[in-house]
Amino acid sequence: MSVPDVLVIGSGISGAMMARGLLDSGATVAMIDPGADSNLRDRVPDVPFEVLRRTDPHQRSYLIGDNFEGIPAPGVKVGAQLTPPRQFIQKGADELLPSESKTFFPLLPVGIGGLGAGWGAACFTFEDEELRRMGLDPDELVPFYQRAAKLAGISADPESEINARLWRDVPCHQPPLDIDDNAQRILNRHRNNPAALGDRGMTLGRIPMAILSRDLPDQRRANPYFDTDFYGDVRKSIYRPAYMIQELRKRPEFTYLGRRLAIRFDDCGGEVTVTARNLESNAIERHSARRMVLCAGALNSARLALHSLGLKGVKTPILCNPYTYMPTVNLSMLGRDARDRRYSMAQLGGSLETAGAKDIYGCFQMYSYRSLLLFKLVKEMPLPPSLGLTVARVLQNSIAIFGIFFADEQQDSKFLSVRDAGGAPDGMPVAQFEYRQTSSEIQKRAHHESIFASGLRALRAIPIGKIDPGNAGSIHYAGTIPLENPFDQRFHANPDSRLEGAPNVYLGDGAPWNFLPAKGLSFTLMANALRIADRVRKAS
Amino acid sequence: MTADFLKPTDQEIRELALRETDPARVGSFQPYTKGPLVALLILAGVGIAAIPMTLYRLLRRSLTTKKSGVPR
Repeated sequence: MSVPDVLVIGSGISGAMMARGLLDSGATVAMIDPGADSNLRDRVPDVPFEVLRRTDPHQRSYLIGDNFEGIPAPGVKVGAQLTPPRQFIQKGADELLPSESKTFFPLLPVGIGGLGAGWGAACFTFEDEELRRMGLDPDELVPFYQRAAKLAGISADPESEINARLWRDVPCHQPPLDIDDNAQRILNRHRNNPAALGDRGMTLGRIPMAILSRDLPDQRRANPYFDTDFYGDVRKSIYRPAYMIQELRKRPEFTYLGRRLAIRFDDCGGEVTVTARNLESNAIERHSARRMVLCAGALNSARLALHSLGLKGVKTPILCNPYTYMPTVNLSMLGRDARDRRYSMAQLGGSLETAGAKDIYGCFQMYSYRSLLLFKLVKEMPLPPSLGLTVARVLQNSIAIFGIFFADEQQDSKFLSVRDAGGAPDGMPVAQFEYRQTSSEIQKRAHHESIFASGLRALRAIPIGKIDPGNAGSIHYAGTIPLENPFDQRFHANPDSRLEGAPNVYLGDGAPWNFLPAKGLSFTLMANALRIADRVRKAS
Repeated sequence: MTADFLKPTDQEIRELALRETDPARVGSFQPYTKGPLVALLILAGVGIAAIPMTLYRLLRRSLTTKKSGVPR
């Protein structure tokens, strides 16, 4: 391909949609991406989890890993949830994307599809007020939710109780997925007494999922309810950016430059040139285009931009949803049988309003526990393994794990900067992270966790612990090249989504956001990428 | 509160994970589904058994050198 119209950096949730949007509008596109992958998921047979467990002699390789990599190491929090077939997402990241911190340990992706390869597939829309706080125009963004839903394939319940706050203006394309017995009992209890949660400012219901409940005309098929979704996805029922890229690679207008790590860019003479390392040959390459869109994920987009603009040591904010897990025992499922037919991802979700206000401060998802295996439960119990296993077998069908995300905003104590790694002139700079919640943020979070726990108890889902996976545990990163940078006026996004100081460089991920709502951000990243693609094309 | 010293060792968890992914032993990892009353009785039994078993484990660990892993 000759010089493409646009270079897209990164293949994640934003990058894949960006490329799709640009191609659909007639542009030629090249994508630069580290693109690590794994064939481990291909070993997972397309059969129900229980059948697989009883019949597949090779199950260890993908359930726990040939080298036990599926057993979280002591102290490992972020990324611990990645099963062996999904660990390619971060394999080698420590060397390729060096970072330093004592307070923030993000999951930095180097696999094809970025963090989207491990996404839980829950979809939410942001409210007008949330979008305005982020620096986005609701009237401009909202129409792109519809297009994102069409491209990703969303199943949703048009009657769900959560729709008023978490899902709007997006007509459903597919019927909702069937939820499992554990979730159904919790939902029934809520429906019998909605005031129990309502009085606490909480909602609960089925949430939209980027999982097919019906076959699509292309290669993607409906979820078979085999409960193997954390390991394999033969039918591609869950939207993954890699599937989108696989389709795009069939188009002659698209070039995928995989196994290449973008290190810096230069925007001059009406053209952007990206310096990248070829990870196969270790050679330095240069790729040019008329425009470039950074979709490397907020943390890495900022690393690239700071490095390229020569702004070493300049601070820029980090936004990351604080995250808390609350494992509970659903008393109405204790000792009871549960259908094997289920999907593995979130079954229910909801929101938690700020105490005394109407804005949403927390957003949660509920998972049942089975296919992640019992040894992980036993590992956390202060009991001899035989007794721990007995307890795990008793509780297994009744365990409901609630993960709650909280909104995040800019603070002086949350920032990143870059420094030279030393050595080779074309080396990747080191990102330095600092992230500390303020004392008022910590108090506010604890207060709402307590409200949330009391709401769960009202549903007879009794919390048995509270787990903080660490400051970067939500894997929701944004706000690193904000429209308004409180640290340094030189480094920011412009209202037209271009990077200040680089007129041909656009920001296609969540880096420009000034605020991060509590809701999962992936679906909004998709819509936003399509919006920026539209802008790039119009500007061309 | 943490009771990390009472948790299974890495080696014990590895052995458990290997057993759990052995197709011939799947039956030993199925949930108990005999109703809530039986479930509560089992949990009570675990609570009673945990005291002597935990004491035994602690005693055994205290007699094991960290270096060799062999009882003294």
